[in-house]
Amino acid sequence: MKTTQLVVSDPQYLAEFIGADEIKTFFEQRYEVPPDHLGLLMRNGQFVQAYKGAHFSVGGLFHQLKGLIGGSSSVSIMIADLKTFQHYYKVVARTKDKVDIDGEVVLDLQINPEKPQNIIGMMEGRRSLSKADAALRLKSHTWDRVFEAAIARVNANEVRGNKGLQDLIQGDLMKECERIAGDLGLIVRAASVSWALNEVEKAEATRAAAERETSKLEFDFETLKRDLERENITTSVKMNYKTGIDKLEIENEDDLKRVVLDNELEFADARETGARIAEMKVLEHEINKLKTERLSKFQGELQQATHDGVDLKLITERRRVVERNTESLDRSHQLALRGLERDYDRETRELQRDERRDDRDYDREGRVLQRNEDRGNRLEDREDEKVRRKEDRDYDYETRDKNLNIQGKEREYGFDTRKKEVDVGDKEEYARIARQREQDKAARDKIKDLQGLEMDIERDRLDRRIKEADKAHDRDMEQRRLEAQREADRLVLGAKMTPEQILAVNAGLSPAVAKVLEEQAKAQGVDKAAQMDLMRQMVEQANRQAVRSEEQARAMFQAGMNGAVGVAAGAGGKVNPVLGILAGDETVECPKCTRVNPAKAKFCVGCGEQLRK
Amino acid sequence: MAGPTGAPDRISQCCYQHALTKDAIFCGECGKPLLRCMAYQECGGLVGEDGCCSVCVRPQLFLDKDAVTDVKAGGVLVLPLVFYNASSIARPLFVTDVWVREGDGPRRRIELPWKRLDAGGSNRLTVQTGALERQGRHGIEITFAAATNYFMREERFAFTSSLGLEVEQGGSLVINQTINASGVGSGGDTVYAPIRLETMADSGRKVADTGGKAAELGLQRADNFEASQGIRGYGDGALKGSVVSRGARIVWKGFGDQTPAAGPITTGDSILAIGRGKAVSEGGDNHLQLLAYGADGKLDEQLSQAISRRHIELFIQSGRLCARVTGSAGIKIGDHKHGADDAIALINHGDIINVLPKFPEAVGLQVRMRANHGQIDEITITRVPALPEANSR
Repeated sequence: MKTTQLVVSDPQYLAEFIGADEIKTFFEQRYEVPPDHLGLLMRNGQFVQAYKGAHFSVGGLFHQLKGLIGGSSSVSIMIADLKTFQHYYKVVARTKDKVDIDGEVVLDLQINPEKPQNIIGMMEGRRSLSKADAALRLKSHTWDRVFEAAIARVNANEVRGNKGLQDLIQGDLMKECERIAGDLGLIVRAASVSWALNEVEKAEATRAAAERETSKLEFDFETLKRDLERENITTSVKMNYKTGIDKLEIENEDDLKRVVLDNELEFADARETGARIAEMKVLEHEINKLKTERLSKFQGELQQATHDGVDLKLITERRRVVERNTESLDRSHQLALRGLERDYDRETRELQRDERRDDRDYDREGRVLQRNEDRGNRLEDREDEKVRRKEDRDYDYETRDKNLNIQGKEREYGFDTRKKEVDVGDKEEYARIARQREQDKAARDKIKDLQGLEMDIERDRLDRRIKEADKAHDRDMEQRRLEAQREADRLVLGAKMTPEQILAVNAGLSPAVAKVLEEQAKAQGVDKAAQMDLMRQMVEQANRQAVRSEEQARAMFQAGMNGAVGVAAGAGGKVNPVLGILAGDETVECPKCTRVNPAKAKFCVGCGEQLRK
Repeated sequence: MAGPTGAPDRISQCCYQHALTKDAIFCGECGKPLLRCMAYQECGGLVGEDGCCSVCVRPQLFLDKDAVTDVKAGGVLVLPLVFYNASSIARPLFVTDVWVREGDGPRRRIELPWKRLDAGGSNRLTVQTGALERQGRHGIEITFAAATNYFMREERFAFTSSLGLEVEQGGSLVINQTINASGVGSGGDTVYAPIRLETMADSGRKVADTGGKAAELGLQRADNFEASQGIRGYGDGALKGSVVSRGARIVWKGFGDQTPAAGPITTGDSILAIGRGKAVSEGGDNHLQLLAYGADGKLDEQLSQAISRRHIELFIQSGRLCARVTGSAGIKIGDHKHGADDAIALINHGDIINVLPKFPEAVGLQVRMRANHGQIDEITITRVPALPEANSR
């Protein structure tokens, strides 16, 4: 059986009465009220019951209605639309700054599902109620209370996007609607106002547009200005005088005017030059950038190398240790030197003491000799005096006794002659004593000279010994310093060297030569073991030839290559270019094991037999 | 400092020069035997009597920067140590043990969280002293054992260093704490946080004056310690505490006309190979050709076939004479058989190496050693039974 829906006949209707005649049919029919509609059963104008989403058949209902219809009661059904509907209307309000603004109000209204029967209060005897009629009942009440009151609080330029204002209007609207139509079964679900552009906003928009236009013009001006500046920078104007310098040798003012008038200035566009300058600047920038990148990379590698433990810090530390060792050796040298000086001073003092003692002994002996001599002289003088007195006495005696004879002799020889003879004897005696004294003094000086000579010899010997010790110490110090320096250098280099290079450096070759040999070994060796083997042979050869520099090493290989070419050309064989130069070396055979050794070897490398001393 | 004193660089340059000749045994300049490092093929280094190669083994010990070396009496001290491997040929060192000794007290073993020390790398270790009760200067001795490996061989050495600590009077308990914030083996940054807790007036913390850098501690070879702890040399038996010198003279007896010349091990790989193969002098690879002879003095070909071409290799390792079994038949020393599973055999004084375990009477090598002042400088290897001098193949 077909089911007929009971809905409002026009979508603009909110509610509508359906009389019994409209549903009274001859045949039995089934009706339903959809879920978004409400069916209100009325009897004698009084509400009986509300149906929402109800199903009923005319038959079933018919029997119920039959009694009712058969009686004196009037029965009808009102269908109400429960869906929310929107209503729009214009409002005009005045803002706080006295500007009239237009707005469009959107109201979302609905019949109150809780109290649907109250909608009857809005029907007022009509068979139907439109949505616009229901909404208009609110408009007049809310205009001043809601819109005017809310808008009067804000300025014209503050209404747009003002969420607080919208909330205020919606809240006030709901409150007023509840007050006005709440008991009529109508509720406000939502309300909002969209504002038209007011005068103030128009003015602001115009101003903003003008400012934008100004900014754009200024931007265009700046762009143009920069272009001009750039062009100015890259353009130089060169003025060439057609007139030669000699022509400028004017003689009077007229000539000057003529030259000025006749002078044609030629402007040469040097833009190309400017462009080149710009290109050069770009290139310079690129170079600087590359330099900076390379510097950063190098610093990074340096930092990485430092992090890897290679070894700048470590090497600095070792250098400090070496320097400290050198300082301590210097201190020990100073101490040793002072010790030697103390020994020398002590020995010198002893020698001086001995010398002073010898001097004292000599003086004492001199004094003793002098005393003895004085005593001898006194004794001699006394003896002489005795003799003289005796002689005087004798002379007196003899004088008395031989006065006559003396007088006779005096007369004969003269007294002066005899006196002269006595004086001569005295003088001879004095001369002998003086000679003796001179001889003693000479002997003393000789002894003294001999002692001084010995002391000088001893002093020279000590000086020589001290100097020799000092030299030996200096040599030792220098040797140690060189060894320490060599060790430090070897350490510094060793940290960066390969095993092949370490092998060569350990064998006494310089790092540069070691590097050359390693290059050759790597160039000719098939694998690592072969490279090491070849390296050993080359280092041995380099040592034999006393290769000390990189150039010598390269010359050695060049000679080896030439020799190899020569041998290959002559004999057709293949000779190792590195070892080809070995052929000319002088060798000696060990008498014990017959091993062939280099001629300069002191011992046989095979059995240790001594080959030469 | 270049490295441990007492070990390196006592080899003359002339020896290095003549060692370049592959088959050179003696230095042509000074006549000394050329004792090559076991890793000579890689390092090209020579060793002295102590067997330490200055190219391979170059450890360094540092006291890390900002380390505190002064403490109040009654306090303890934490020493941040840095072990560095300065070997320039990328050979790692293996630090196996570290001991610390305070004053005259006993040595205390420190448990190591790491072992491998790569060349150019450094590992850190924090050592804490006991409570330093007395005022004055205290000595701390740090000793460690390091090993270097080359294929199946290993050389072990011990190095020691001394450090002086100043203990001041007064103050309550002071703990100078160093916190190592890096992970084990990560090599990351280390943060030191010295903390002083004291109740008396602070006289100021004294940090080791190292110029903001780690201070290197001088290392010395601890040869006596090596011998006493068995790090090098024999730890038991008649030669307990004795160390075989790397330049020990090996005297061969009872090998008839094949008797090699006596002398130290001077081969390129510092190994003496013995086996059925020909000797080097006859164009082979062995140092000594070993064949079995019957009681009548004739060559026993069947038994000789049982000896491998390269049967055993003799070498000196960590101050001990060792044999590596390369022959398929193995060897027998006393009651112990050494074969493929137990290739390295330690040889003691008086041992007889039975070359053919199944026929112990056929060929044997009796080893006798002579020690002087704890150093074994002569090893006599006698063939058992001995061959008559006139016996020739």
